[in-house]
Amino acid sequence: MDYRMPLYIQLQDIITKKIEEQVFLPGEKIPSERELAETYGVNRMTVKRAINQLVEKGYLHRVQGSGTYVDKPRRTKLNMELSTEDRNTGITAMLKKSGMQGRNIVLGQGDLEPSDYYAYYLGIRKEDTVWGLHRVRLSKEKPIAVEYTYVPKKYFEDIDQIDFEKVSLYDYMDARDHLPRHFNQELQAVEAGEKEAGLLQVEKGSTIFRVIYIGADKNYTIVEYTEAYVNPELIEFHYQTEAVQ
Amino acid sequence: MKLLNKDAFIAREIKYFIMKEKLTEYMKLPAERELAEHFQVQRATVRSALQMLVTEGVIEARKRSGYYIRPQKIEEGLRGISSFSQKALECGKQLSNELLAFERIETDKGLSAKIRQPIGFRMYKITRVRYLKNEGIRLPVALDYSFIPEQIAPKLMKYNLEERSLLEILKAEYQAAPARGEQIVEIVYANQEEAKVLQVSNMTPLVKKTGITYDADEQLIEYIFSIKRKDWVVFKQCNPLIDQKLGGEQYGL
Repeated sequence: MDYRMPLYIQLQDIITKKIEEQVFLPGEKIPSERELAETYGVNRMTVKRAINQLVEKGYLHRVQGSGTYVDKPRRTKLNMELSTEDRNTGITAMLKKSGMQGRNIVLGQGDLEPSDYYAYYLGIRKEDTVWGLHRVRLSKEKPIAVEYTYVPKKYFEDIDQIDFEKVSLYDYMDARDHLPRHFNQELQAVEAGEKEAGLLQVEKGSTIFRVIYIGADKNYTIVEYTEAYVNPELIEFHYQTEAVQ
Repeated sequence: MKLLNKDAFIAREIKYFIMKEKLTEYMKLPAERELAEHFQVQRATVRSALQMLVTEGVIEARKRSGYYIRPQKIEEGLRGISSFSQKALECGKQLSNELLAFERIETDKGLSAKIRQPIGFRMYKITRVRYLKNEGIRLPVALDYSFIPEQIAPKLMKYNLEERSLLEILKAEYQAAPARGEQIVEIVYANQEEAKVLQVSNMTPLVKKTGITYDADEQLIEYIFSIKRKDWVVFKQCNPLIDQKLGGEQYGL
């Protein structure tokens, strides 16, 4: 934060940092306006203005006759839980669950040239056509992930006619009775290449998540191979764990 | 329009080639020219594909020598609870750990909120560095902070945590067996302590794993956060029934 910025903005920055660092916990009362004014040697009006804006932004709320409290619980990042078995996961479902509006941009779709790599991971023959869908996933108009998905076309003959900016891929796969239900997953922190950095609007070479998942339907037929590049500022990954023998 | 650029496509095919030829860590890749011939593409395309695999951490370039398979990363489960020493056994690497601190603490506000206990809850705090031996060099790969409630493991300090695994001690000496938990994976940037211990510069991107574990009676057993070098860790969860299907009948790898 630049010292030349207006004081009320600097003060907002102090308070939001303390919320993020959990110095001020969700539901907790923050120092009074008078105390804040004294601590930082600023005018009461400046404090009022900073707090008003943070109330508007949903960080704080006022309780009549009592004080200002940190809003709870505030999720700054979306909670991505891919590994739960037997549940329709995926970004669309995750956004729905957190009550957020999502949107997809289709970058490209169509048949891939014959590939050993994709045939191997999809468990098909090299002669079988692999169909790909490249999408940018947006939440509140911010790109949260770039997803490259490949499916064996033989299970989805009419897939080229579907508009995946309007229809969820998993809903479509479900309608064709091949909804992915079981997953192999790999999560890794990688450097953003030029293309993914551009699409996620992050700097090239900055660290992002890459998730590779292979999805199989209820009969354990592999129906999906996806590489997702995810902006770590907007999504964190949660997993339920269990004891292994 | 083509879905995948030629270099991105070839990068995947090279990954398949590595798997098919069973090239493992430290082994050399064929020369650019040979790969270009093999895949029937321009050398420039192969060069660009190899560069992508370097960025991805699959291979590394050595000056005037060529491309080599990068040493294997430490694989961690996404859903299973296992100890560091167990992971070491699984990936066949020489791993060791160093105890930096073993303290008795009372939880502060921040920690109490995370473990849902009142402030002043008594815990052991164990700070350890995990090392991996790579080409004769002892490389720090993770800085782990474990918090164990004193009530479930009184006198924990008498055990040697450099030689025995913490989970094993809890199980053998205190009959405390983890049953379920939650974990979160995030990207963080090295603070001064992390940078010093992990031998990276300040603000280097690192992977942070936070985990909380309970026993079958929902009693807290361990709270851990682990700061890891991102180039040495990969989180994986495999389903054996899917593994069987990979490669179908044609590939049989």
